[in-house]
Amino acid sequence: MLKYTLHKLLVAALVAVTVSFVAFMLLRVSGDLATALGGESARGEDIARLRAQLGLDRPILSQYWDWATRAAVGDFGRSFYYPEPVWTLLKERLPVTLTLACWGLVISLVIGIPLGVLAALRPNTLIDRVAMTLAVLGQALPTFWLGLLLIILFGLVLRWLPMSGTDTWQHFILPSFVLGYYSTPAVMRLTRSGMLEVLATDYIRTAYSKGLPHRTVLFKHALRNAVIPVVALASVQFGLMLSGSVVIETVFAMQGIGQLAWESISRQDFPVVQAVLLLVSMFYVWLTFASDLINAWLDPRIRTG
Amino acid sequence: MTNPASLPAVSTADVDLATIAPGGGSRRMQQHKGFVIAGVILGLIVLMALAAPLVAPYDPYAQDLGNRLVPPAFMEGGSWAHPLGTDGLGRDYLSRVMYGARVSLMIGLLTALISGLIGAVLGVTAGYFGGRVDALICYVLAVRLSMPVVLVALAVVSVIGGSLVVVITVLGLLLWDRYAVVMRSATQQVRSLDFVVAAQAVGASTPRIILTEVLPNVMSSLIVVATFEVAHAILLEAALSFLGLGVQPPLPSWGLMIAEGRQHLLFEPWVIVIPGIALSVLVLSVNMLGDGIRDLAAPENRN
Amino acid sequence: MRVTSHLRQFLGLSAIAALLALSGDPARAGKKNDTLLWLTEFEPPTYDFYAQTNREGVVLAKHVWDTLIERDLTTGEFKPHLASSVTFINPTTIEVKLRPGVKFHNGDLLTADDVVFTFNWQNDPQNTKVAARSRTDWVKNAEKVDTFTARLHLKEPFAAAMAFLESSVPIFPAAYTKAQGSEGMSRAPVGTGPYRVTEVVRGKQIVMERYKEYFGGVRGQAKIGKIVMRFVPEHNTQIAELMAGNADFIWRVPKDQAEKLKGRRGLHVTVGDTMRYGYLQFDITGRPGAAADPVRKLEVRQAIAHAVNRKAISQSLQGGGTVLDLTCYPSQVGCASKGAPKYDYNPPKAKQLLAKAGYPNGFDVDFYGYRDRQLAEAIMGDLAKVGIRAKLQWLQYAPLRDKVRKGEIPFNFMTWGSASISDVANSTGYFFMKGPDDTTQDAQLVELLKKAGAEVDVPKRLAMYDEAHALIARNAYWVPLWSYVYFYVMTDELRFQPTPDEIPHMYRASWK
Repeated sequence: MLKYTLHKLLVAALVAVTVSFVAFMLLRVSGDLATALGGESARGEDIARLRAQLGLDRPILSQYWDWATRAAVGDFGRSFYYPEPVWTLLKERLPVTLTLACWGLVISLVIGIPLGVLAALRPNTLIDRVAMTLAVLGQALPTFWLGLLLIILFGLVLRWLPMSGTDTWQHFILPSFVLGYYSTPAVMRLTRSGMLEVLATDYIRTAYSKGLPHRTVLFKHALRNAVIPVVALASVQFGLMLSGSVVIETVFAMQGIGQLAWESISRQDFPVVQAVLLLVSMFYVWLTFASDLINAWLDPRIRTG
Repeated sequence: MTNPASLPAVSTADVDLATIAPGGGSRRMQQHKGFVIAGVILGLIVLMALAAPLVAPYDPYAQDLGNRLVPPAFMEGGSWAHPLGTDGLGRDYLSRVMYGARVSLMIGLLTALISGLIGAVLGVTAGYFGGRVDALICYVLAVRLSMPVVLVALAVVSVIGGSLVVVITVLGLLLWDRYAVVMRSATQQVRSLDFVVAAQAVGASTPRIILTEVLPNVMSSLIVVATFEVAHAILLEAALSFLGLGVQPPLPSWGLMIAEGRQHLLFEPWVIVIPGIALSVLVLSVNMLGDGIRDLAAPENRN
Repeated sequence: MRVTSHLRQFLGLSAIAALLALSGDPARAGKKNDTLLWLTEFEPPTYDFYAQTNREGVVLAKHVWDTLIERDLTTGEFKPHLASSVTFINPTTIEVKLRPGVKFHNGDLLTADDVVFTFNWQNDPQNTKVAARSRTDWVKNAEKVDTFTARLHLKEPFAAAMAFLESSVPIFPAAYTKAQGSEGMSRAPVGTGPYRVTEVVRGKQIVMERYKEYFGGVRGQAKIGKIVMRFVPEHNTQIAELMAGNADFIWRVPKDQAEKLKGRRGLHVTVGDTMRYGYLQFDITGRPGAAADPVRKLEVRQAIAHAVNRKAISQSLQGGGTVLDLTCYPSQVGCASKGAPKYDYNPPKAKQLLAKAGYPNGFDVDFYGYRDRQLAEAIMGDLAKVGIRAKLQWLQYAPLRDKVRKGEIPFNFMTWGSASISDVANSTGYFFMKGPDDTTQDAQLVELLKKAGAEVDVPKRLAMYDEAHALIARNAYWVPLWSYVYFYVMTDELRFQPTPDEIPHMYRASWK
């Protein structure tokens, strides 16, 4: 297990370094960045001054080296747009996005798993079809549309929930639902196929033949096994949600890293974009690493094979 | 990195190829039915796209500023002169929907082609050769998977400017991961089968074995992934368009039409609902087609 | 499948309209609590006015700080404001006498030190926070004469000095700014203005209260007790909040939506022209990198000017706006020309001109833009009618401007707000004087504008701008399009008058 863990750790570290390099290069090969900073009324000399100040006139590899060594200790430099260091911005905004992603994940599991189980128990019936349609619809509905519809219904007409902002936990209900609904299909499909597979195993047949009640077999034996891959999926979905909340944060006026990333992209605020890209990637690398270890721990064949 | 469990198999969750559902003959019929329906709808959409210049009632680019936002015929204030109404520039919406099908389909298909080519080459190579080659490709794959697609696409497109070619290229270069994962495991299964071993024994060259023995046997998996990726690419283009970075007007794509309808969402919702329905139907039927192909092409996994 | 489309039909076609009809008459808290809740799109990156160029930042500056002189919004005249007099004692020296007894929000007395500090700090090369040096760098240095008198020494004669003093140089408190720096100023802004900042919540809102000891000046006392500016980036969300009674004022509302809000009970919609204008720009320099395009031919540019129905586009898509013939906003000082030819909407003439230029069948051209996509598309529609097949290239503002400056873009549609400076020195004078955005590089024009920029004699100066604008129009270097129209939607309990400077002056607003 130790050898396996070390091996995984090495690979994760390698991936992390490569991703950081790609993230850096991706945004630096695009020509002159200093123009982005001055805004509409900045002049040529303002821009030249900024360029020198930001070190944009040095060789690109040495810029990368500086950036990466600093980023490793949490110093992502200064934003081109905001006066604060990038890390301060991220720290301010990460809690909103993390909260949103956590709730989004909970909601996608709460909707996706029961729908998946239901669909698996009655494959190819109306229930199955409706569940599948609902889930796929989640991906085909534009998120901003669903979001605004909910704002009108629950905020304007029923007045049950606040429409925008992040002040209280009630503010997170609508956006979390939209975010969660969007990743429900993946959870549902995986639960459904996992359940179908498990239900067909000898082990379940044995359980039934022993005369165990349907309910016990279903929840104690089948679901428990079927849900293992879903847990791995959940960790990755969480990573995706961090970057997937761009539109939702805009619609609900939540100042999280998704909105920060999108606005920074439009302003060509590269230090921020790079930092967000790196942060989200690192979350992903870390979560995959963690889920690898959990899988290996659950299933000994993996670590020896 | 060399064992499949460490790969984010989860990213193939939507494709759940490995676990083909058992369920007997009735299920197969049902799937068949879905497959047929999806096929018919898709066929109609493709036909509409191809025949757009012949059947569209108006030039989709012709503006008429005096005739903006006319509602569809089935709504109050609409007329059959414009069955689906007109958009914010007075262009006939039905004609734009028809032409939009071309662009959305083209994005879906070409993106799937580019990403399919990359993913298939990487996946088959990794699966066939194994060992270090496999480790290297898995590492590349892990790097790609850890980069958030939407953010990377946005960042790249915002710098070079959105256009049909750019969008297709960027999405094509980003969406190959599922192909690689699925092709890799499918190839691993195939290469240990008797006929491949036999071909190796008689001294057939590696490219030849891959082309004539391996590829035909992993083709069905490839096609299934491709259908999902077509849908994925179409939706991603819609998301990019929403943020202003998809294909460029006046070219109508369904995603762009939804994005342009954003400012009419509260008071003229049909502007956004019509392309929205079109897009959902397209995505749903492409998905169902994929499900159908998967079930039909993998009879060995059935009871 | 049928279920799906029915569902969507239900959700979309009927639901939103039905829901909107259901939403009743909101009970607004604004007037009762004497608090105006204003929703706006963007949060400024910092509240230190000089460290940013964001529109919201410029708007807030008008409420928190004061300038030495101020434009009377009804007559358009410059009047002393923080100053009691501002005079040129020679073409390169301005003497400022301050109004005594003005106090900053923190209790400090306004003195000449604050004026001197403001200029010298912004012009200090060591101060890396400055976002746009052009606001103050026409002044070489500032010097104190006595407690309430300061002198500004100009680099060279600068005719637009008054316009810059009025819009671009709010006076900062010297002692406080020195102690707190730009960051401190952003966390807790301190000025002399009609509103005092009481709370800054980054990422959410800024709260201001009426400054009871405000000196008044040209702006006068504020009437509304408290203003909360909250940041909500999505227009649809802003409208929903306003309709629910959770907000009192929104602005820059798209025309079609504003018109739908017109009849609603409890709401008032008003519209106003702004100084921001749109223009079509051509690169005709032939410098290395500049593309050899059809637009370098005079007839082609004239054809484009005749082909675009500016009035119809502006009316139907913007709901108003002034159609422009010159490269400036009509109320800017110097924005007039008797000699400039006008280009009317005349497609047949456009076609003739194209044929004369050697393009009887039109041509293909890349057309770049960064905002107002619908307007851009409408322009393209008109161009298509005379055979010019424009292909839209959509970029973000910064990369687009970058490319324009490199000479990579032959033909673009952009907008300009003159930084709210009411003098052509910052519009025509900015674009055609060999600056980075000058895609014309006409030596005669550059010479003329330079002279006009330094000419202190008003009639002479105006005559030079007249000539310059005629030169630009004859050569069709630009096709000026229209001014932008802003729609403001608010509770009908608010009395608010829009002004063309893109700044809602809330200290002039009041409850009905």
